[in-house]
Amino acid sequence: MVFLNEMLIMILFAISFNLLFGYTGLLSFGHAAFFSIGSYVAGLVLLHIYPSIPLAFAIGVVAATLAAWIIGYLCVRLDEIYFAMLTLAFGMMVHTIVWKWDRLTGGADGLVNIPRPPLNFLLFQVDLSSIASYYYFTLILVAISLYVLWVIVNSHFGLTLRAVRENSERIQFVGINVRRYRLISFVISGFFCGLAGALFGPFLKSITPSIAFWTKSAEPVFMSLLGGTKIFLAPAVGSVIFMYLKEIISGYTELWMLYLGAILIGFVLFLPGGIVGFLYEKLKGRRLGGLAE
Amino acid sequence: MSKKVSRRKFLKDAGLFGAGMIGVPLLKGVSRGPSNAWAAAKPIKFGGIYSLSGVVAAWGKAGQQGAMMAAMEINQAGGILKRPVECKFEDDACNPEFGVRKTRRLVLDWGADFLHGFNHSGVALSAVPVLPELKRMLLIPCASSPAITTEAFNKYVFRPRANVYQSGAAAGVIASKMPHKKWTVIGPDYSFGWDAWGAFFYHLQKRKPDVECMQIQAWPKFAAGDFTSYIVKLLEAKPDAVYTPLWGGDFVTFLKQAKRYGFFEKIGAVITEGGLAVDGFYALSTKGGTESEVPEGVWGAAHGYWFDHPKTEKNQKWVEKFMSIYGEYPHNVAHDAYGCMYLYKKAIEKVKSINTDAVIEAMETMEFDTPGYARKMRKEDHSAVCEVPYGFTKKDPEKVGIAMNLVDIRDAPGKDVIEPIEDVLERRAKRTPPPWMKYVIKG
Amino acid sequence: MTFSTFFAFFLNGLTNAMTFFIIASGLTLIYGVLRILNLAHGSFFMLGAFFTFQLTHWLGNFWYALIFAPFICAVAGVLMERIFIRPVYGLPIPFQLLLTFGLMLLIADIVRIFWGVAFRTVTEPQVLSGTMNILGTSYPRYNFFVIIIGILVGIFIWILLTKTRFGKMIRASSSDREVANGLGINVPWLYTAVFGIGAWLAGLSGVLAAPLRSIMLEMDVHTIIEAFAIVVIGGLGSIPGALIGSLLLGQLNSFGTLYIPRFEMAFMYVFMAIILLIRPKGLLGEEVG
Repeated sequence: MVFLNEMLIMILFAISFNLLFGYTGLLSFGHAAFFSIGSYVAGLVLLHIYPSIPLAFAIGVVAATLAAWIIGYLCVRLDEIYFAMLTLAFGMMVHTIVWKWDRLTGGADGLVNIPRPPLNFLLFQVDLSSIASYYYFTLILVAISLYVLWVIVNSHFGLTLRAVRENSERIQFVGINVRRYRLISFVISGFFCGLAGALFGPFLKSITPSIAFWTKSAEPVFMSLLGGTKIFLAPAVGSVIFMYLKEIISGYTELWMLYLGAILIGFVLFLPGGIVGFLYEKLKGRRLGGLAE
Repeated sequence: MSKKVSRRKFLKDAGLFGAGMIGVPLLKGVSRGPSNAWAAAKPIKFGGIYSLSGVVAAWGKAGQQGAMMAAMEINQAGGILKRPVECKFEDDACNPEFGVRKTRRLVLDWGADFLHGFNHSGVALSAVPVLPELKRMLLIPCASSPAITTEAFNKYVFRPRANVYQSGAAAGVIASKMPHKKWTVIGPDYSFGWDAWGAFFYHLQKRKPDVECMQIQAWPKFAAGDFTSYIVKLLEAKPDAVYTPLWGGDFVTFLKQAKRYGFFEKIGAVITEGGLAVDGFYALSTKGGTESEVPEGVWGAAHGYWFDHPKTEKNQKWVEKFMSIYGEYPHNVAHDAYGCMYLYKKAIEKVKSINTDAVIEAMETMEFDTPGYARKMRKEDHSAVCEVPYGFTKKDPEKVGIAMNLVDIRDAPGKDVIEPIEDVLERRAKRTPPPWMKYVIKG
Repeated sequence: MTFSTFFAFFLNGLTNAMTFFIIASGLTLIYGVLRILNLAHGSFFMLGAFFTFQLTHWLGNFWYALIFAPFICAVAGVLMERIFIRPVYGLPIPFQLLLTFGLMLLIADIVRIFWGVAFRTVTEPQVLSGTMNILGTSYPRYNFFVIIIGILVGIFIWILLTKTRFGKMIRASSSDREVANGLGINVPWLYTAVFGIGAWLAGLSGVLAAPLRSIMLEMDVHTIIEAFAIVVIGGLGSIPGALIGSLLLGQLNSFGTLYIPRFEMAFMYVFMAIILLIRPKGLLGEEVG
């Protein structure tokens, strides 16, 4: 159940990342910034301000969204590889700050002993301290978030996003402000990644700067690619595969990177549409198309 | 010489390679006793989480060695409560996230009854909070930041060895007798480094008020790899003496790089808390183990235990036995991990049960022995009243494979160096940072 | 601060800059010609360092390592290009990144299998040990050696690109692959060669860095991010840009420890961000050579 809990958090991370990647066509290599900001801010609130999960999560998510706004504003003016590089730069900047501002963040040791106070609903309390209860809590929050994202993706806004992704030049002629749409997508993505991060802190009970390092940013990228970027829930499949592999393989051998690396390579060479993309094509007999250029 | 060295190297390499593969369930049913009953007895599972890879892999391996040696002996003598001891080890790779995961995995997936481990204080601090949800005890034979038993404390964690407050006090005694006034530090940039230096200077200043804590300090990140800029920076500031909490591979790398700049000739005295543990000596020995790169006159505590001291029969016998099994001198973590297993045995046998709460209650006030020392657990914070040794380096060709020794070792008495319990409780209640943090200056 | 100390810091920065330059030039060359961002580039660096350890261990001589280790890396690079990279030339960048990330993981664990988990150290050769006195500053001889090799490598690359026919082919192919093809240049073979050279450079950087620091796993992950920052700042595909970026980062690392020990690392990324926002093509544009 501990494993499922983490998987849910990563699913949320990957799918909200994919809003920007698969639906808007922007590859961000620094999304761990929002995950970690959400995580650290929520953790700090729980530890030092007031032990209340709703309050901490709210502030954490707001902080992550704000960061996404600022960083996104600067980034969406760029395209393709430059966009990726700039998000990487910002991601690593956040990592450095989180790591070096040790009076606030605990430095390399991070935040320790993050509490999981019960949810207070005035009339009754829900205890979150057990593994099972926090799992159900995560499940509910993630399910709601995914539903909201689903609604967004299938709305008029979502449709426009996909048009922006396909041909950003052309769509400007229809009067769409490409930058604004990209930014909004960026911010929404940051919001939910921040929520995923906030959930992560009390789950692990301690967080360290490694959740802001570029390799953490790479995870949702690969989960989306593995699962498929064109279908809403595909990155979830990718997350499941990725995490399951990591967990299973590392249960047998310390050499999990070898097997994971081989599998990733195999995917790129043979299944570029991702698992879900591959299955979709097989079932429906039509092509989804690869990634947009 | 070559035979012993190559055997040591083989075991070392084999051990390292073995550490690369995941934990080996061991030692079930190795003993005498009626084989049916023994085979049928359900083993007591001890899970160990150590840093088996990375810059301090030797320290993790030492923990494995000590615990396994104890487990083998215990099983040969009939086990605990007539049940065999079963061990499994996981690697935390000095990564706090891994520390949490592996702890959970050992308990939830493997069913560990008791836990021991953690070399790196940062990893330990992350793992301790998950003990209450798992309801398992953890004995820590290495990680020595006081925060583990103060701010992060819960009833499940025990540390049957000295923390850096204690070793800092011991170092302070030695340093106060030196003429040096201007002290600075080069240490790893995390809680252990800060606490080790801070506590040391705190004690030093109490004994010798005219010492100066220099503003220019060096705080490279843990596992930095390249210390040269920091070395030049410190030398430029011209300190009288330097204290260094660098340990494991970091200390080895630092020493090699520092020697290039003539560091040890230019500085009056160098004190290292854990840098000169036996793995450092092995790594710095040259010409097949007959010479060493380690300079003479460096003060070290070997992180709480040096194999050549105390020269009691018990200790010497233990060291010989260890050498015959593993082909090298025992590391301090091996000594303490060995002690942890026997402490578990003593507590479990006292209450005749493996119920966690009962064992905790028995252990909190227990007196226990390690091969080198006699120690006592303190109830309020589960830390140990124990001696802290300090000596300095000197060439010694008789020490096989390392060619050096720590000599003139004096043990600071346990009750003199342990932090007063009132201070601990006050800090815990108020959640204030320790008073020695003001000596950590980062610029 | 005395001149002597300042000079020591400057030389430290220069030494670092040279090891960065060698690996960054490889990365930027590969991108410039092949348009591939190779996340496994840092892995060649790590392999170079580990091979150095092994060769000095077996043969007792650092010089053999200096000569052979980069070539072993080059061979590994050629194999990697032929087997794994070729199929993905047409694919978009995310797939390249995923593939090279997988390769990075693979190599990391192969290193782990062969060399285990302990860290390693390599001592510089006798003739280069000890310090030299220059301008009143006593500085390790080996570091001077690294600086000189870095300069030589720079000159070598410059000659290769501007004075040889091979270099002309490289520059032609980086500008326009189709035209180059039309001119009769065997582009696939050229790509393999360039990738091999890039790997050679990364391996050489690893060899040189080996005596300067401890050799351990995770070198690849940290090195690649620094190399990326450098080539972005200098300009993707530009060798002189890689040089400038390396000098910048090298001195930042060195003086940063002294003046801004807390946030020196952030400055590199800040700089990277500024460049991308103001002048995305980097300080020196994107032409190879």
